[in-house]
Amino acid sequence: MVRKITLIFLIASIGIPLFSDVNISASLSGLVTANRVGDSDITASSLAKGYLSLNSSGLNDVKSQLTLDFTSMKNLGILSISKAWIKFRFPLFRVTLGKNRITWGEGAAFNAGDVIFDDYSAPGAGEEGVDLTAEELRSMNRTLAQLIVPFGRFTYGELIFLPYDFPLYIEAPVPYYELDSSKPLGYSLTTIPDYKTALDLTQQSYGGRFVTKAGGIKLESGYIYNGYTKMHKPYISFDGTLGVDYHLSTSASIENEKYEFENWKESLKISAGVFYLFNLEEDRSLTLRVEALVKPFTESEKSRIFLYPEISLVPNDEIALFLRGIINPLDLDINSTLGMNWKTYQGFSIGTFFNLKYKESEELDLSLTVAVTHKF
Amino acid sequence: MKKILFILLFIPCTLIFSQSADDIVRKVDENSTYKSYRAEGKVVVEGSYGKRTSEFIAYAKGVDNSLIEFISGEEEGQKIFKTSDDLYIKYPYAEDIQRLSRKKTLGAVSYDEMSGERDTLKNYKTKLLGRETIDGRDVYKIELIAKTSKVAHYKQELFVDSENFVVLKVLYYSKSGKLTKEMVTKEVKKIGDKFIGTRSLITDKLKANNSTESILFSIELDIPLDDKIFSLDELAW
Repeated sequence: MVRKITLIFLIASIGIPLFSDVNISASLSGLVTANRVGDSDITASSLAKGYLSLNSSGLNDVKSQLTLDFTSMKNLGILSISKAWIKFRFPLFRVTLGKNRITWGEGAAFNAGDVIFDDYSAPGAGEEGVDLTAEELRSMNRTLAQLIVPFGRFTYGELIFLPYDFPLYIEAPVPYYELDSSKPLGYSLTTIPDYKTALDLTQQSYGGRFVTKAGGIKLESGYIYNGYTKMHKPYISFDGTLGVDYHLSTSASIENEKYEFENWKESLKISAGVFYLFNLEEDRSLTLRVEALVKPFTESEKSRIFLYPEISLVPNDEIALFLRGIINPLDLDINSTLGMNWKTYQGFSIGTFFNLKYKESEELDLSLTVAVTHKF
Repeated sequence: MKKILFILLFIPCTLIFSQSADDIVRKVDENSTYKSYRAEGKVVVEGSYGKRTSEFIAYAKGVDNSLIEFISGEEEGQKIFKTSDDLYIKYPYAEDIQRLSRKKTLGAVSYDEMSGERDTLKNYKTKLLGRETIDGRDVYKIELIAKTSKVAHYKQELFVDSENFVVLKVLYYSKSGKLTKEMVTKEVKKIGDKFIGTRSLITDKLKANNSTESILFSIELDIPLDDKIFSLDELAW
């Protein structure tokens, strides 16, 4: 019996690697922040965060990934799944199912073509969903089912289904009881998850896009119907080079059966940007990026235009310096970050970020963050 | 990989003594262009705080199509697809494809260099400076001066093996005439009827302890490669 079990175990052990080729990667960051608002005392906080990612390997036409994120602050710990997806492909199409990052449109800070995430705000993101200290300024993931059909080297069509995954809650009467009694004494209104609405087929979102290249310009056009808000969201984006790299996107949110321009003009968004990289001598590089977001008909006159300037200097392959910010030129609101990232040992970096927030009606908010990251 | 993968190609041929610098450079370019290839290797960047290693798989077909995928190191999962017009980069965390019209560097080796820049005469003026001997090999010494600001180096001196047209050494200069980098081919292997540089070292002459070593573990030439490999769909996969 023992021999049989040992034999089965050995066979199983040999067989497992054939089906369980996994690449594991992880990242840990420790952050310390000192903050001062107006004339108040300086406060300090620290937190640890990171991720553990498991990626399948070994198969050419099937991939999967599970990424667990965590944040730990004092005695509070938050564990979440940021990515959990399976991709597979056949000769004519490929499919992604699960939770994944998806990007439509163009733009690092402002992207009017991002009709999927314009209802979301990234964790840690400020106004306009931008996190100025992050490597990727806008980063949000969603549960989705995606079908992509390539029509050429630079042309493909995409269909997408987005199940409702907002944290949806309703006020509902919940019974309360006297001890040792099964008969409710009464009912109190409590906030509970609204599973009924979340599972309702009419609350889901779906759409598609078409991407191609013509005359050296990447053209992208698509549409999402948001079942929860009953909004139709078409967009169009262009990305090309004319001396500098440029992008231009526009989108609108049109309520069901309210198709007259007057009804949806307030939702009209236009984003544009230019990017240029100077190769300086001795392996140094300087990049300039300027983006703008314009909402020409929005009700709040002071929210009609936002600017994102960024200048970045890489003096060598170990150090990167940047200055970036979100500016509202109409009321002079500024949220800016001066940062330095220093890569030393393999996978190890030290980041220092000085953030300044100024709003006319609020006190000056200053913070200094030091982040140490190890990817392994 | 101008210096790493392509220019270091050897094709046995009879030496023609009266060749001009343009002829020699054209020969180097011709010899470093294959119908297709697939290679696996690694780049080791050494700096003040030790070494950083990234392994990669590279594909190329014709002159204008190449794809590099990093399979380890800090760039793991990153893919670079180069066409005659553009450079597309996929960052794994973002599931996003970025298009660049200019260069971005990994250590001393630019992405353009890694993905093949084989039209040297289009970008550089050439001049034959003479002949020298390197490790017992007779070499042509050729000066390249940039015609455009779009290339990474204003001036280069190539030391081309006069028998096989392998580039054995390159000296890179800034516009002010300062020597900035040196590339030395440390190992050449015969693959089929061709010779390939499989190990090279680029040393930064302006910084101490700063170098980039490129090593090819395997290389296959003129193999059938599906055109789909060189597409946005493959890049996004």
